[in-house]
Amino acid sequence: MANVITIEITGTPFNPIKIAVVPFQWQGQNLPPAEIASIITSDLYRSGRFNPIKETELTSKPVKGSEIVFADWEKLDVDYVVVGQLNQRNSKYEIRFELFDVFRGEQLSGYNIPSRTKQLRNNAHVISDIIYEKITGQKGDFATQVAYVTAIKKQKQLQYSLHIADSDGYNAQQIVISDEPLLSPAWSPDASKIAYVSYEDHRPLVYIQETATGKKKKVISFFKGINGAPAWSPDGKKLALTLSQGDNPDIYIIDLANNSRTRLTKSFAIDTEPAWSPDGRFIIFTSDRGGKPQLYRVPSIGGRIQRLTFDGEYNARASYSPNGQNIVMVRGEGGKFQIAVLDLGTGFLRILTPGNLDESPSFSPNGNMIIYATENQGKGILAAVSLDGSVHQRLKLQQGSVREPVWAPYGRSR
Amino acid sequence: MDVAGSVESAIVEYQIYNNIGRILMNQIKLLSTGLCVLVLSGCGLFGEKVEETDITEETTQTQQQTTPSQETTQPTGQQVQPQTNNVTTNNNGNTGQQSNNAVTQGLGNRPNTQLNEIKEPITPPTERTIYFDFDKSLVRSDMQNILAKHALYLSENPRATIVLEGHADERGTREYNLALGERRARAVKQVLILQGAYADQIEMVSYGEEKPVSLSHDDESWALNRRVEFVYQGQ
Repeated sequence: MANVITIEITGTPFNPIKIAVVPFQWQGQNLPPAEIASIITSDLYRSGRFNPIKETELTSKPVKGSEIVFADWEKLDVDYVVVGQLNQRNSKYEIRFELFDVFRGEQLSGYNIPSRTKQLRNNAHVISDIIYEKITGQKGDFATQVAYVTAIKKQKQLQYSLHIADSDGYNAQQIVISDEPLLSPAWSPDASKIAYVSYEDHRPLVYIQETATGKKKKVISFFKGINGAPAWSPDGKKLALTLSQGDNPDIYIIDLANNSRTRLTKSFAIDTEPAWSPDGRFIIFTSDRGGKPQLYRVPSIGGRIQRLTFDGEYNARASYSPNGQNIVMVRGEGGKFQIAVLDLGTGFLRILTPGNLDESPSFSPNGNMIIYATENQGKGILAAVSLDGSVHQRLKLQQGSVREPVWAPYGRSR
Repeated sequence: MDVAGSVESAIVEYQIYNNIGRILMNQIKLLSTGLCVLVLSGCGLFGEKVEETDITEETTQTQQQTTPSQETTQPTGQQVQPQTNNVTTNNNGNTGQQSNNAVTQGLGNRPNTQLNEIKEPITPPTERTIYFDFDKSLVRSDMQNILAKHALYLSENPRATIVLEGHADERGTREYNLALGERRARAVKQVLILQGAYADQIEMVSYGEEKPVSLSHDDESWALNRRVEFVYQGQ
């Protein structure tokens, strides 16, 4: 599906690494099929860790290592230089890139990557991942995917779809379409399946769909009232979810092998939005048992329930960072709903986004970025923010309203 | 026919204007109100139907909310009532499955007239949405009246079934709002049951914030979206 997307990145990173990504030389007919250097530049910038210099500031445009004069780049105060070429080979392409450390005057990495047209953008993200890891020592996550829900008005009615796209919003594919609401998509830990809530049976039920085949679809719970908020255990064998059975919603865990059910909460309040800790030992969830929605934690085998947030009117839909040190949440205060991160070690809470109606935050697989849904000119759009809050990015899809982005974990190779 | 009788029949015939005339007037917009009454009262052609309409009006009256013509119907209705078999069944307040071909005897001035009863279906209350405050599921005092009408209807029509659709505004998280929508529906269900409805008449489904009636992002829209809708089944 040809979803037209514009990306807008704003903000200044704290202590950024200065890097130059020189436009790749194009050797082929007509225009290049992808602007490899600008894809890499956008990736590195939106991570909040890099400050790529603008093309207009370049004093030379080398296309291979032997053409680099390191003294020129030292003058520009640049720490790293990326050079490369995009070559056409009949109907296929070859991307060559090299990464250099300016101070040491040496190559850090270099690859020749054969690509078909469809793979070009993804391979540019793969190059971003290699650069990111070489320089920061942390695994990159640009060549990953996100899932999200759109609602488009068709003949007075909303039509709902579930999509998968690259982490920068490109290459969107629709995997579910329905005239009834779809919500709460959740990736399996191996990124091969998505659990979600659909009203196709005119009530909220949880379904699991394989993203590659698209066909397998299975109802995994079948109770009265709400069947919602699915969350995969880190080993992919269980789902935590919300079941109301026509009464107060509580948190349950369903073993996918035998459909056996364990009840984790029992209260007169709303308990919902479960999320697993990365080690699988805890479930955090939203509950208004104290009067207003706040976050609580319970051992995943059941046990004592502990309140995590005390500050603020509304703290909900939390999830853990991949290293388990932070939780990201929706925080409501004074009529505004924003994305906030709680450091579980220090107890320090940081508000990351400036919006009024921000929701559905989801960590990138390396924990360095958070994607979320926000409003722009009355329309739901996706946005991302670096964990330190310094760099903001908006993904604007041209059609309909976009909501509920969830970043896929690592584990999907293409 | 004595004087009282003709006054009465004039009232009856005025009534037919109210019913047939309503239809006629949509198509023939020539006759003024007075003219129409005169034409009809001088003409026996419509006589039979006059009584039918009249009885219908009266028998449905027990369950229906006031119709504008109720008071003018009263005198004839009282006269007819004791002689109709239908009236007793009707007073039970049940779903109205009486025979609609009752033959009534001994109507004062028109003996042996066959009266084919026309039975208006009893319809549920027309206001079918109630609204809530932000993050609240308490039924507001200004919504109690609407709720009471539905409770009355459900208790008087045990075969009627309803789905209470709970909704929330877009603020806050989606799954929490799903739970909030269900809590609102449940609050409404409890009040309906307290006021005489049966539990097995009522189903609930929450749509959370997924089916807004207004798509704007302001207080006015949010107020419209925080609601429970009464969806009667089989209608």
